[in-house]
Amino acid sequence: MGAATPGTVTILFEGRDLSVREGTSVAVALWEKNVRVLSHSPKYGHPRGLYCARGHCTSCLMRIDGVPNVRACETPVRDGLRVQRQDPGAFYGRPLQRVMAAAGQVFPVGFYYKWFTRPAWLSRCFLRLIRPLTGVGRLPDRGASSGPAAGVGEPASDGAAAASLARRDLGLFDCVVVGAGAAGLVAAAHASGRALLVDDHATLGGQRRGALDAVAAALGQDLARLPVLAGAHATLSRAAGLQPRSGLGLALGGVIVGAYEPDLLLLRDQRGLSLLRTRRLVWAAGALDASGGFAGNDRPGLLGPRGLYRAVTRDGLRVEGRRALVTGVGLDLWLAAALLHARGAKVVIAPSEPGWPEELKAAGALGWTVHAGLRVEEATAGGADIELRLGPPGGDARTRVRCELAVICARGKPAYDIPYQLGARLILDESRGGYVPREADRVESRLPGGLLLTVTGEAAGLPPGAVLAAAQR
Amino acid sequence: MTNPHECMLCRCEDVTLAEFRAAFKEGFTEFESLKRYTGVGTGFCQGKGCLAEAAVELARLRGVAPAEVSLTNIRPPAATLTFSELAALPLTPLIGDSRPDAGDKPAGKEAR
Repeated sequence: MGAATPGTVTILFEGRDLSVREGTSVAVALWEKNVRVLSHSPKYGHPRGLYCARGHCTSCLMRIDGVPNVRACETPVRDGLRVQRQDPGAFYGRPLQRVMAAAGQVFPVGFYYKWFTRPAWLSRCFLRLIRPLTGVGRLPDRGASSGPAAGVGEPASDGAAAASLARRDLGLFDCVVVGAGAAGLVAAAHASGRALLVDDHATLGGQRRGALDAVAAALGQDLARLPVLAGAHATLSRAAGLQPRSGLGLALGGVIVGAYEPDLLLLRDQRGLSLLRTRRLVWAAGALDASGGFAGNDRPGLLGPRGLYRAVTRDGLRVEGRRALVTGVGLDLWLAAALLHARGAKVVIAPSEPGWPEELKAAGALGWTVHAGLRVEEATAGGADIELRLGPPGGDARTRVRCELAVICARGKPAYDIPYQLGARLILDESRGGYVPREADRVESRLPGGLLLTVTGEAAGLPPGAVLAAAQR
Repeated sequence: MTNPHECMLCRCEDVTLAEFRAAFKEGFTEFESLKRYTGVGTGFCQGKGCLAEAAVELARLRGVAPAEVSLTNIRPPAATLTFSELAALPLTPLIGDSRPDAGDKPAGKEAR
C-alpha cells in the first residue's frame, strides 16, 4: 500500500488496491469510483448495485474480509479491507447463469431447485452444482471474522469480541416507540413510564430529516419556490418542540430485528443484540422504497428516494456533476431532486402525475430538465450508465434518458413485519400503500398476547408528516 | 408494454413477474403456496422488497380486492443475524418458563 492521500483509505477490491474516500460505506465508495456492479443475482445473474442503502436488500451482498454475504452498504471502508464480489468463477458461472436466464422462460417456475429431488443422490449432486452458481454458498475464510457485520461508524467486531458481549436483557418497558420520524416523535412526547425510542438513524427526525435540512441549507430563500418542500421542512422543524421528554431511553442506530409473541423484541445496535419486553408498542417505522413494476427494475443505478437520502446524508455520496433522473410521485419526487441539485448533480425530473405548477416553475428556474407526465417503462444498462425509456401512461415510451443515477419515487410501502410477528391483524390496502392495520391511525389495539399496539405515520399508510401536522394544529 | 420476464418481483430470489404469473396458472393460487413454490419473500430481505407487490399482483390475478389476499406467514427474525449474535443473547426469556403459552403458538399462527 502506498502513502495514503489525506481523506482516503486503500481497500483491496477484487485483489487490487483501490484508493477510496474515507468515512463512507463500501457500497458508496465503490459507486464513487464508478464501480456500479456489486453483485449478480443468484438465478439469472443480473447485475445489481447500490439500492436500499440500509441493510435490507440483497443487492450489495459481498465477500468482505473473507466473510460471505456482508452488506457493503452497511460496512465502513478502512485501510486494507478485502472486498470481493461473490460471483461464481467466470469459467462456469456467468455463461451457465445466462443459460438459466434463457431456460427460466421455458421451464416451470422453480425448476432449478425443484428438479432432481429423487433419487436423493442425484439431488445431492445437483445441489453441489447449483449452490456455487448462486454465488452465496462459500464458507468464511479460515480465521476470518464471523462476528456481526458492523455498521458504518462502528468498529468491526470479530468473533472474540462478539462472544464477550455482555448478555443483555433490557427488561420490561411500559412503552417502546419504533421510529423517530415525525409520527414517532409525536408518540414519544406522550410516552409515559419506562419508555424507549428506537430509530436506525443516528439523529432524530426520520428518513427525510437529513435531506430536508440539506436542501433548506443549500437553497436558502429559493426553498419557498418549492412549496411542497418548504411545507415539509417547516412542519418537521417545528418538531423541535416535540423533543422527547427527559428520561426517555434512546436507542439511536438501533433496529428491531425480530419480535416474538406476546411481547418480546430483539434490538440490534452498535453493541449487538439485546432482548426487551414491552407493554405498549408504537410502530412508527415509516415506509420502504418500492422498486416499481417496469422491465429492468433491478438494474444497478436505480435507487428509491429513501436509499438516496441515506446514501447522501449518512454516507456522503458524492454526485457533483453526475446526471441524475428523478421520476415518480409525491413529496419524495421533489425532495430527491432538490437533494441531488443541492449536491451539484445535473437533475432531470419526470413527474408521473399532473399538478405541481409552482414546483415545475421552480424546476425550470433551477436549471433542471423537465419531462412532465411520464413514467418509466423500461431500464437498460449502458456501461456505467443506465438508460430509461419513459412514456405517458398507456402511450408510446419515446423519451429516453441516459444517466448515472435514477431515483424511482413510487408510493412508499408501510413497514409491517414486527407488528405482524407480534400477532397484529393486517390487511392489504392499495390506497394506503401496502399492509396496514384495518383501523385507521392511532387506534390502540390489544393483541392476543395482551400487548397494546399502535401503528401510526407512514407505517399506517398516512401521508408523510400528516400525524405531526395534525398534532401541531 | 413492460415485459414481465424482465420485471423483477423478488430481487433476492430472482423471481420475475412472469414466473409469478406462470406459477399462478400452474394452480398455485394461495399466497402461502406461491411463496413456497416461487421463493417470493424467502430471501435475505425476508419480503421487505416484494411481499406487498406480490400480494397486489395476486389480487389482480384472482380478480379480488387486495384486502382478500391474506398475508403469508412471516417469522422472526426480520433481518439477517449471525449465530455469534444469537449466542450472545440470554436465552431464558426466549425458551424459559416465562412463556407458558408458547406451546399454543403454532395453532394461533395457523388460524390467521
